[in-house]
Amino acid sequence: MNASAQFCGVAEMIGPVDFEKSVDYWQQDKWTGQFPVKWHIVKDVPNNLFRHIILENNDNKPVTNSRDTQEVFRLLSLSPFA
Amino acid sequence: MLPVDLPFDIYLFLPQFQASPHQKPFYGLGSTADSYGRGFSHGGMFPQASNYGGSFTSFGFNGRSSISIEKGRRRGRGNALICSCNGPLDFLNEQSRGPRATKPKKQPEVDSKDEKPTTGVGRESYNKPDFVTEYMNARFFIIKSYSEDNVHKSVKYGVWASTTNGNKKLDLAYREAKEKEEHCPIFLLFSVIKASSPFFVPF
Repeated sequence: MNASAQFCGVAEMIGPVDFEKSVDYWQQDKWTGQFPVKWHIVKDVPNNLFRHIILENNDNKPVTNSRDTQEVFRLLSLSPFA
Repeated sequence: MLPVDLPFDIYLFLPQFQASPHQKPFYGLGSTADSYGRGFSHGGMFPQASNYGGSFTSFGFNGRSSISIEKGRRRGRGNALICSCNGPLDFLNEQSRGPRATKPKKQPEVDSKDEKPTTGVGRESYNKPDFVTEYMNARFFIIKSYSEDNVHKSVKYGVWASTTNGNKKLDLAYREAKEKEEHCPIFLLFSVIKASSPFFVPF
């Protein structure tokens, strides 16, 4: 499945989560609560360009294997081309 | 406090990355000198992904971080943003060189939506060339979405929602960041997974 995944941008969380107020425009109803974000970068980049990035704080797994809300503490930027 | 650069791969979002001459394209399409934009112009699933790779070694937690420390000390505290946009931030050229310029009307991209943004989140509000990429403090979270449409809506409305636990985690991070003396932005690195298999089970 990873082959069809891609990074698509960077947003900044600019406010706390409002756990009470949900928005109704998601495709599913399972997302409750909401928080404001400011998008800084909107750009599609295929995942295979990030796969070499290892997350120390996630058992040294590739960043592309992360689950939702995985925090990125430190990035090892070892290049496969080095 | 260690300075935290944005993940270096954010530089990959920049359109000007080119292949180093010794790289081979994974799928044998095109020349290795293809630019970012031209790599996308073949359509499909980014057949020339390897063309991005040329500059990986330049970024990351290397010597540059310690330079940031020095800068930070000299400038003191307060707003900890270090406005050293030392890369050629060339976002604005995306419209003429990026993938959307070469894939007309085929995909429901953000900019091809008919509706106008209702909350003032227009195209001009992101991909700005002056986006600061070095911070003394910052935290990063991977966000996964199984719907590209939801990401479009997030851009449009300036809102995101996670699962119950995800919301709690992010809310806690936000509040912790607020308590710090120094500015500590919370960045969300969005990833979309397009479910193409009937056996696909998220998590």
